[in-house]
Amino acid sequence: MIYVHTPFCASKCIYCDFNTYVGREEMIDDYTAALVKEIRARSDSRLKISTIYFGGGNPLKLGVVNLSRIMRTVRKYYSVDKNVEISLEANPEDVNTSLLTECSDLGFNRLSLGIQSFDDKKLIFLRRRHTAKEAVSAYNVALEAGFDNVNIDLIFGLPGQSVEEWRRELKQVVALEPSHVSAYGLSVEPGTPLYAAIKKGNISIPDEENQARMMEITHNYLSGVYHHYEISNFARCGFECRHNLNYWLGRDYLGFGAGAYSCLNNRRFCNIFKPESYIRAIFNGGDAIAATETLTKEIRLAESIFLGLRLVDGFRVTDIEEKFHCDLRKRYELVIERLSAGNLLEADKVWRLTDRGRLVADAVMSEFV
Amino acid sequence: MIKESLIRNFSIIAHIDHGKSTLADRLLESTHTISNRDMKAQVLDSMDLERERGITIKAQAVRIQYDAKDGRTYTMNLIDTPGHVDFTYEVSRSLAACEGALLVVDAAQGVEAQTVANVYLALENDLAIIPVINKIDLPSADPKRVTKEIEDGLGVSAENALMVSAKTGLGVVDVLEAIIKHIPPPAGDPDSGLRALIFDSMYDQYRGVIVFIRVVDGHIKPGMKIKMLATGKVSEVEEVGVLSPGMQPADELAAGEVGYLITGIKALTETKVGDTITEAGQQVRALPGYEEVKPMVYCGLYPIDGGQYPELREALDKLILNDPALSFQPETSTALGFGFRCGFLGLLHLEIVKERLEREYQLELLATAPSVAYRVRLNNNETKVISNPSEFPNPGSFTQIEEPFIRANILTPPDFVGSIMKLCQDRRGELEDMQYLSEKRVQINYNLPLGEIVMDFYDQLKSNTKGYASLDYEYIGYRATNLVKLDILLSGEPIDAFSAIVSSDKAYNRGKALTEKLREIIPRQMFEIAIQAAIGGKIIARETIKAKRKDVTSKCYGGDISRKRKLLAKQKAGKKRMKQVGSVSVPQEAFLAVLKVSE
Repeated sequence: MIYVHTPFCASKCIYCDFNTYVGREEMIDDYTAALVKEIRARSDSRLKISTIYFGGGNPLKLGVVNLSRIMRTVRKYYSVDKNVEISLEANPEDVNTSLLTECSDLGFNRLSLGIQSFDDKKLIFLRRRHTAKEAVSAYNVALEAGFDNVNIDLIFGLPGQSVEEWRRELKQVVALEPSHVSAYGLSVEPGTPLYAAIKKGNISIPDEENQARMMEITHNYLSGVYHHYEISNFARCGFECRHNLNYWLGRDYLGFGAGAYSCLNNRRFCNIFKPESYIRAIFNGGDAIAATETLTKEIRLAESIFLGLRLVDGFRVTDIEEKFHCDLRKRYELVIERLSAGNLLEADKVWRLTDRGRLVADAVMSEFV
Repeated sequence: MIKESLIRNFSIIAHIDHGKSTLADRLLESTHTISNRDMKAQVLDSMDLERERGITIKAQAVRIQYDAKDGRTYTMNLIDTPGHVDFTYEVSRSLAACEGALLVVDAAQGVEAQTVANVYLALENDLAIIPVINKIDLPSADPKRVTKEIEDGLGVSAENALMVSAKTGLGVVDVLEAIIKHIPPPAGDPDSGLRALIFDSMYDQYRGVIVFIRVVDGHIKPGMKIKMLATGKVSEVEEVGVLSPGMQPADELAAGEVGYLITGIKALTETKVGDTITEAGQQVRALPGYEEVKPMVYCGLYPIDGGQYPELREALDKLILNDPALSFQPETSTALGFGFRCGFLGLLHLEIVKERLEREYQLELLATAPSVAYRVRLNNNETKVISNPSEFPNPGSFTQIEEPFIRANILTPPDFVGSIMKLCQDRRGELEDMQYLSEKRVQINYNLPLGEIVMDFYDQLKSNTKGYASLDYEYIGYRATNLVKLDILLSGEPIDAFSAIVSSDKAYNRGKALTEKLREIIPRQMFEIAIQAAIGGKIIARETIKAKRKDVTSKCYGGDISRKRKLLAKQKAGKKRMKQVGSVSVPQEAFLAVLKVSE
């Protein structure tokens, strides 16, 4: 699986702590050239690629020509599977039928729309660049352009949002019948304007109880329509995001571009974050690796458990035990006893979070790291 | 040998911040005992802790040579004393080594409780007292009022009180002259058998025990075989000398002189403060006033990281070399793991020991609620002494419990009399008497259980009186009272570290207050937590901490799984810093809250 990062955006959203930069358009062609060089330099035709994901930032900022160069390079230097899933992240204000048709022609077969909300006031607050109306039409444009696998991203737990308001958002998204919905709770990350505003006391987010209720109705409401397959992700059967599933199943991945993470042969490493430094490093003929971590058996075991628990179906104990040659039940005897007694974890042949456990997943997962 | 008529031994009595150390510095400076170059503020307080807290913990002595106006050169020994109720015994022994004392009182603040207590100790030791009113340069100085307080409150004539500003140096020479004039020279017999009083000792890792002594009769010199009367320890003198202020070896120390002594002794437990040193083989009467020091306050000390238990033991072993008043024995708590039950002279001593362990030995410690030693009369008429709530006998297995009482002496501006009386009543106090020392100063005496004092009484007194009241106390013995054991249960499990022995009248309110406080302090967790208070198995109060409702980062973190793993690890570490008690994680503040809860 391959991830390609685009660190450019037209503007920064209030909550965003991703590796993205505003107003660096002049760098785009150099960046693309660096990407192509990196993809080629790290080529390994033995690697079977079944998913490719273009994320950001805003990948469409690169332009179709650049996207096409990157896509050609990937196909040339890797064994791309016939049934490959190729996702493209896009913002509603950027899409139109001809652009998306071109993308579809390049091989993109899954579109992830960053809609976030169907409430204009909330969109303004979040510093998004589209309206609710534009969001709906972007979705329809995607269908017209031939995308039958479209994800809609939504965020709940916004400042001032009531449980009722969030219920309305859910109704609206279901009415559009997308094949996939990601419903994320707003997370307040240090360094963002959102964080600063909350810290200053200018705004406040819903309290724990209301956030919990929003999560509960999300799960209840969307589960009736979709397959709830991961804490925040819902899909029509067969439309689960295979790329993200691979992360949760602990598979290897290649990340290209500034700040992109790769995981290969028990090593995880990330590239230099600043695009200009990344470009320089690649053109100086080396790699752009900023940091490497060796994943010990202990680390991989811990990750397998907490990533596996994100999946609604959990994981089979024997799978993990065979992979790591350990007695999972014995190792975590006291922990699972307590978690099961508290109705947070089902720990039979399959370990999975209960509905209640999913709401406090971090607390549960932290018991295993 | 110095003629006794040319020796003056004195100490300084003062309340904290009334200028004792500054005055001492001036005396050393104006007699050139210390060159300006070596002068650092408060020479006598050599421990970092002493400088920071502005208190004297260890006694110190320094020899001063003074060319007096009568043309003669006098040798003065200033014996600095610890200034806290915890060290009353040490103070009394330091005073016993002197013939007189300077009574330093702040010209604006007036007489404080600590001054009262130490003046009484000085009077008991027949010391000549020279009142010194300090800080008279302050605009708020009121020497007239303070003079009256000294006379009425302490019964000391202050007609000729010296007016001094240690800060500016004003009147310092008068102090030196007054010492010669009003403090009698020592009156020992240099020709009779050796008798020397140990007023302090310290452990030096290179030289062993260094004993600070006042020679009362006879003399002491290297090579002499000496005996400690109380401990029976016999050893040979290796070195004697004077403190000026560094250790200066001398040929001998004779009657009236103050100095140090080094023998082959390696343990402070063999050189007890107040003991008499004699020449081995000679029969002399012991000097009066020796007592065995007993701990008055106890608490459990536990390493927060259980793995530090061996380090804690080692640190205590080392600390006791320098502080024989400290006692400890291993103890196990179901909530806190392995630790030590430690005995202290008082609360300040407890705090100092804990701080030194943390600072000098890099330990992170948790101290349980301080308690006192209770005497339990069992049904079979045996008496059992308990200092830990876990030892509290089952109801019905004893006939009576006694607890130590103190007589508190509180000095305060009149405005706060009401709130002080309320505080003392709340703490089961009995008013003994009350007296106006001046229109600005009232002296109140209460009899109180010591167990009530060790529970943040002093903090409460200070906050109720905006810091104006001062407190001192003396032990007045044991009294039978009605006590019960109050237990706290978390999710059904009794937590021994929260248990306390309390008065039955107050148990209910305290249990309620404690459960409420714990509900505030213990964070929400994955499971609901029941907090209960119980007396003798009967639940008297309950609070509930609801289970955490939401704790999940739902956003997709893509390939940056390492970051998520580290965040989870951090979350787990945060939990680890708390004490795991069954399925409940209890933050450290919770264990401290037990001390602060008011009924």
